[in-house]
Amino acid sequence: MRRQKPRNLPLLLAPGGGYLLIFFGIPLALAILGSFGIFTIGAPTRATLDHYAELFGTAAIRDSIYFSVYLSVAQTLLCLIVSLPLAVMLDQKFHGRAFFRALYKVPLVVPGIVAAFIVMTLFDRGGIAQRLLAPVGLVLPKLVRDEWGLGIIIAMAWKNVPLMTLIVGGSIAAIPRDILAVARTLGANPLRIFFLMQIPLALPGITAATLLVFIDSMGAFAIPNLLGPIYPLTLSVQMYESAFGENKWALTQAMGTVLSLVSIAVLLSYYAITRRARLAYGGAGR
Amino acid sequence: MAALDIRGVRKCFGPTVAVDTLDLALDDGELVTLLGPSGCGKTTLMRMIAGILQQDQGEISLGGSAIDDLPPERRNIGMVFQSYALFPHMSVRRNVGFGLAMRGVAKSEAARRIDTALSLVDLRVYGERYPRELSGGQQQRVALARAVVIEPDLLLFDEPLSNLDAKLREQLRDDLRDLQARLAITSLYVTHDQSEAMALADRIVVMSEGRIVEIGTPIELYRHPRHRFTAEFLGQTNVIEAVGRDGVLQLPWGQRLNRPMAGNDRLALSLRPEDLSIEPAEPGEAHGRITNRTFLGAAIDYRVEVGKLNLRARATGQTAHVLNPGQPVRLHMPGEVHVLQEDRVEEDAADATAEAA
Repeated sequence: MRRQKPRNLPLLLAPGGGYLLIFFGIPLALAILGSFGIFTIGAPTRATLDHYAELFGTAAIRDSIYFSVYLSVAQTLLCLIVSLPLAVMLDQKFHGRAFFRALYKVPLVVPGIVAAFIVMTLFDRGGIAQRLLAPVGLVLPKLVRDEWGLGIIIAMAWKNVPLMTLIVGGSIAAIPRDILAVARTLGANPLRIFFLMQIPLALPGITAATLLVFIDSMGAFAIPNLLGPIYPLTLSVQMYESAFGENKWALTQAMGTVLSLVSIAVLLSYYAITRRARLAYGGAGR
Repeated sequence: MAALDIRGVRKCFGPTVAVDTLDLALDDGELVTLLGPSGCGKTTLMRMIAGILQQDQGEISLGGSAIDDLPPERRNIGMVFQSYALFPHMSVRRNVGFGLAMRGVAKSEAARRIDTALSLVDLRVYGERYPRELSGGQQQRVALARAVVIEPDLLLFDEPLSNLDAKLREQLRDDLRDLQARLAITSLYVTHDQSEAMALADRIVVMSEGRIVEIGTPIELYRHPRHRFTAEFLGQTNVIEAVGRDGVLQLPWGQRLNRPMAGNDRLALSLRPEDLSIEPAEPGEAHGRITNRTFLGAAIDYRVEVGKLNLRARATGQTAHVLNPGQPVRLHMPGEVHVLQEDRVEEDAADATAEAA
């Protein structure tokens, strides 16, 4: 029997769809239009590409884009390096696992600005780590307001490792135990199981977590603002300066559009990777 | 291939004893089935042999060498699971070749052995497919090829046919028996299906509550079980009480059988339904009456009420009487009765002894 399409479908979709349209679609459309000089805040409407020309023509803004991408990639990689083994470890049975599983999630509920202050307190000149290491003659590299953004990377990774571990852990736990057991009887040691079974089979979860962490860090403001160097600024801090310091709203909107495009590109690559994984695995054994 | 020797193996999960101080030995090339109900410890035992679980006590040796301290990847044991456990992200060839790759077998040699293994299970043309593109039976054959290609010393089967439909299960069961006989790999096969156990095994190990109840060939255990548990688990049976006096055994419906015995005794008998013949009788001559009839195609299954007993009888062949519920019948046990040796009937449980399995 053919299922009838309900007549009141638009009405049923209205709460969810309407919310997205009003609070996401319209502001995004206005931001994009504003970046082209249309409906720009505090300026007459005039369609133009000048703001993009300024964006790509200004070394400070170009460097901001590169710096933001670098920081996001670096902290996402750091999160992956920590989270993947951690997720696998938490999948094993060991004494105190319940306590450890609760403990590692603590940074999830700590605001970014608090994470930034923790890093400052620990690693800034005269911080706890410096004072502890001084008596043994060790000096930490500059980790706060350093040109490589190491403090930012550490603070953002500290915040995001639990989120990534939580998502990846779910995918790892979903791998049937028999698959891992049979791989071991066939000669795979735990390290090979990790690389040949757990990572490929948890790939959908790993890519989802990577996507979330990457996009979140691309737009992070509090941590880069407190721990970042004077130059270059991250794109989000640069946007803040441009809007509230220089009142250049159209330029800010152009930067926002570029930021969104980077995120969308990451999102599309996520869909491509997971589609390939879904086609390959066909959901078998999951 | 190699002989397996298990001595005093015990495994507990918290307060629950899963396997209780168990001894078992398998000869070279032998296929032994572990048969028992769910939770009897058979899968736990198998996982300890594979090294997936560590026993609390006891020793396991394979080919004369202790393997207790070896991790699973160094025991050279092939395993086939009920869930097939194929690697979904690998093609059939890569699945089968996985164990060879882990052993560092050269590519040309690995390709030859993969081809041979796939030919053994008639799946050579499916090498480039992914597991999701195969039927359940084909997936299980891939799992079998993957287990045998590494030339293991021991093959472990954990209810490998349970997910398949009846017809396919029967076909694959025969294929598996042929393959095991041809390769002569010592094999331990876990199942809760008694017909599968009997069809496959050189010997059956009946387990209950973490212990071995009885070990024997399928014919021995079916025809001459020592324990009531074995008699009831391996097929269907009527366990009844009979009184023996001066070398004569009297069955509940009055039939007398000569049987050498010392003095008087109350014995537990196992009467298979197919050994019990029933025929229509006049009410005055009847031993009991039919309470239920189930037509099974090859046989007709009857429930017969004899006094307080409810017995199961089975008539087979075209000459079998077709009797109706309520009809009075006579019972006859034509051959020898089998006495359960280690289950003497307790006096206080005498009233409740007879019931169909």
